[in-house]
Amino acid sequence: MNNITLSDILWFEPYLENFFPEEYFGKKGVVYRETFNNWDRNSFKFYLQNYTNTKNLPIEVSIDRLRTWKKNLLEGKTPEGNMPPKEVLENAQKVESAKDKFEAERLKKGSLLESQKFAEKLQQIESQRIAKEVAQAEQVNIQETIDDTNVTIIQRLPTVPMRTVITWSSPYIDQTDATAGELFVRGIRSDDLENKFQGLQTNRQDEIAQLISNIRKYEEAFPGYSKLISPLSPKDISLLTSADSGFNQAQVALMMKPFGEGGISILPKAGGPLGGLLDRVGQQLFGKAASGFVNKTLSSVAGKVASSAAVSTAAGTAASALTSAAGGPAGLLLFAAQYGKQILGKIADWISQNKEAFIGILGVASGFGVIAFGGPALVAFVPMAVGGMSLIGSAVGGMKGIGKGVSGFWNTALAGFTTVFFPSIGVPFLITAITLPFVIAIIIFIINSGAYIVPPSKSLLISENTFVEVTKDAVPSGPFKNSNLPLKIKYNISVRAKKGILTNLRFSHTCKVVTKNSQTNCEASLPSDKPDSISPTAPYIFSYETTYSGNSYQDSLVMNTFTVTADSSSSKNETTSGSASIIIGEAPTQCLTLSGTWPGGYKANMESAIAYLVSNYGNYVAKVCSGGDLALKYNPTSTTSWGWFRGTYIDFYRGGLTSEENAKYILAHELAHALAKRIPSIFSRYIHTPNINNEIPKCFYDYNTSELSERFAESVSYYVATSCQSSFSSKYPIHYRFVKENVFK
Amino acid sequence: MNQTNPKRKTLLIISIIILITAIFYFVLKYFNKSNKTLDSTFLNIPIYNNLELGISTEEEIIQTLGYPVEEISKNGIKVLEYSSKSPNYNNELSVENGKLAFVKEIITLDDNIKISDIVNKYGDYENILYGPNSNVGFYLYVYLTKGIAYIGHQESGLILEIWYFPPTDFDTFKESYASDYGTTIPMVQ
Repeated sequence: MNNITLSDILWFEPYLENFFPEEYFGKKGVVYRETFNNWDRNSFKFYLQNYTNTKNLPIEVSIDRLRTWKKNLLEGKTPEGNMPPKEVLENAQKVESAKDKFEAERLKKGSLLESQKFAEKLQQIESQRIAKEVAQAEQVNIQETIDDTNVTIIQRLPTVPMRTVITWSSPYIDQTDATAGELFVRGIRSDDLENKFQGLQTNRQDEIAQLISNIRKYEEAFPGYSKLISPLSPKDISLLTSADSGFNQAQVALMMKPFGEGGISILPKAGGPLGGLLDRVGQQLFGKAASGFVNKTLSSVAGKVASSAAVSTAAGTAASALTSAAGGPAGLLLFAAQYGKQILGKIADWISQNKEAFIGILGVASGFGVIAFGGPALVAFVPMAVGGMSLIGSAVGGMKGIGKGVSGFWNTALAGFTTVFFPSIGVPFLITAITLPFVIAIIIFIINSGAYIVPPSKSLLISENTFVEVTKDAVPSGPFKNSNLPLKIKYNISVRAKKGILTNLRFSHTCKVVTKNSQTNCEASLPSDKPDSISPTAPYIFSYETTYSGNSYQDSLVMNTFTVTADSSSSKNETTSGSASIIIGEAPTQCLTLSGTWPGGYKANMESAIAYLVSNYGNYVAKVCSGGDLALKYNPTSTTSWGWFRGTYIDFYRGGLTSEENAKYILAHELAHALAKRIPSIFSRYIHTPNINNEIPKCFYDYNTSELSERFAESVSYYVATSCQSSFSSKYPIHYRFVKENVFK
Repeated sequence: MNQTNPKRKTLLIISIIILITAIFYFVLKYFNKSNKTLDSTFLNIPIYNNLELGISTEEEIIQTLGYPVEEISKNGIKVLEYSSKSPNYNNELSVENGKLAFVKEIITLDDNIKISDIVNKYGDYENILYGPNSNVGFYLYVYLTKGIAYIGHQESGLILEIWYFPPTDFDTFKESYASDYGTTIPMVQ
């Protein structure tokens, strides 16, 4: 039973004020403390995220959860959700009264362990619940057919702001509202949906009724938009209840045709009108502001959903004026002509009444360059995956500051805007018009400056491409002996479109032969029948044979990588690769052997990582191998962990195997654990290196810093990881010198 | 002549008494010391630098080791820190109710103390616990009846710490000294 009290929640507040003042107060630029009451910031963050079951989420989510619990308690309600037992907090509270740092460390470790156990238990329960729900849920999918061949860009354009705002807000609002919002912005009408669901035999009636009701809220709240989207509204809605749809979901899902194309493609919230990248960035930067606007507007009409009376506000006036405009190509111009002056006038009024906030936003805009380049290195931004490119790094703390500054501004401004402007058009238009340049500017800055962003968790460093999948395998797969040369291998490559048709296909193919002393290229074929497009229902298959012969292939690792770049309906230049590798003779893998079943691409990435470490850090691998063979196993069970040293073997998980770079990092990290176990004198020397405790090296893994073995392993992987190594010697000189002299020499 | 004999006799008697008293004193003193040593050995009271756990006083600690480099307090228990060969960690001597209650000795490679040294002196361990750094093979080996424990790596014989405490039972030991240790190896990525 949950017996959390208000005082338990209040205990957190001084820590939040000191450790996360920016997020807690919503004020940009507030300096935080690294230590407070015997706690250090990183440990407390780890503890807080476990306590609130918000692991791997931004710290604001953890703070929000505490605020929600506090609100529930103040209102005399039982806080919702899975709250931790009181015992989890008790040790944490004792830390502040510890008599010395050793006692504090001991108590901190205890409370961190307890909180971790609690979080893992919740994860287990959640996984079981979802599995059960998925097993029990009926599959109810909506497919709509749109005939938009006569819809012009002028008619599409006015819908962009609202669609953007809904997409950006979706991670931060109620799930059913988010789904309803996605349906609404695509022109799905509540009446049509209701008609279609009449008589449908399903045990999801309550959910569907709620969904229809929520769509009605949007229709009431944004009547102007309903008119705008009408040219693009679907002509027909079909219900798919069979498993042939190929999707397995616990909620009602929408499958739509992309505009101008045919076929079944994206799911809601997969990518909005601005493209996947901009939407992801927009969600992170301005999602809160967008969700604030959506929630506030929806709640204002919640009581009116049942009635069919028109909403008599300025929005209604605008809606009626736009009725005639929406249908024609001049709709946007008419809107601008009729309401442009009014909007500008309202903006001027608002500025005069809110000078401080306006100056704030000007300050943010003008200070963008300073903040971005001069800010401290913080784990501030949320993770992003941009095709196959990794984004890791530092010195972008100001980005978050900018985002928070703008969203803070909007939180204040929205109260005025929503009573003044037309909710259907004006506010979404302004949100998008003002915030979109920031989003684009930030992306351009990231790309041009080569800056990286440190994700809060390893598992999101590089994610799989959501549009294209490339798999490649070698038949036979080996391993082979030198005496098997010359060797004929058949490679099978499959390119699959995961969401929507892929066009503008570009292929590249590389082959590398890695031996102990060299690395050379080998021949890699390209298909002569490259298709014009690939649809989700028909992957492209390409096979070829190649023969390896000659001394250059003896004792080698042969790695083939096939890379595909393609455009999808919502994203251009999506790139991903598939690899296959074979071992001939005594390949330069030393004692590291892949054991058990390894999916092709992951195997290739790991073998590439092995070859990389062996070739470039041979002494390190030799030291690890001095303790005998070490099996490397693929473990499909976890998606959040990257690797786990089990004493006699290492488990690797999907998250660390999605690219060569990830595999290099995690292999170096886990091998360091093996090194500490096999040559413990190195670990003992590490513990007693003068002032070693003054540094806490972190490439991007947010580990428990009181765990010395993790710190040691992280410093080793820091030396190896391409994305971190250039800053290692300057940021953590003691660790750098230690690993250089003791591990890699 | 008859007058000096009584004086000589008295002097002789007094000398004999003094001699017997002295002998008696030294015999008693020796006997007590022996008894004390026998008791310590019989009860397996661990000894750290001639200091006995549960018996030696703070004054005796200072007399033996000198003044500590630092004196701190943990939950009302005084801890005297003395330099070790590690630049990062000091040896810790906890004093409770005026008596030496617990010693944590930091062992570096320079100390050249191996697990075999402990095994030779105390035999095989009685219990094993797992905690920080156990994922790389450093476990806590405990001799409850002998009041000794060490954090060591069996394959290499390396030791990180040696603990001294009054012999006790498992639950008391775990609660008093090893609350962050358990009976399974904690999973660390």
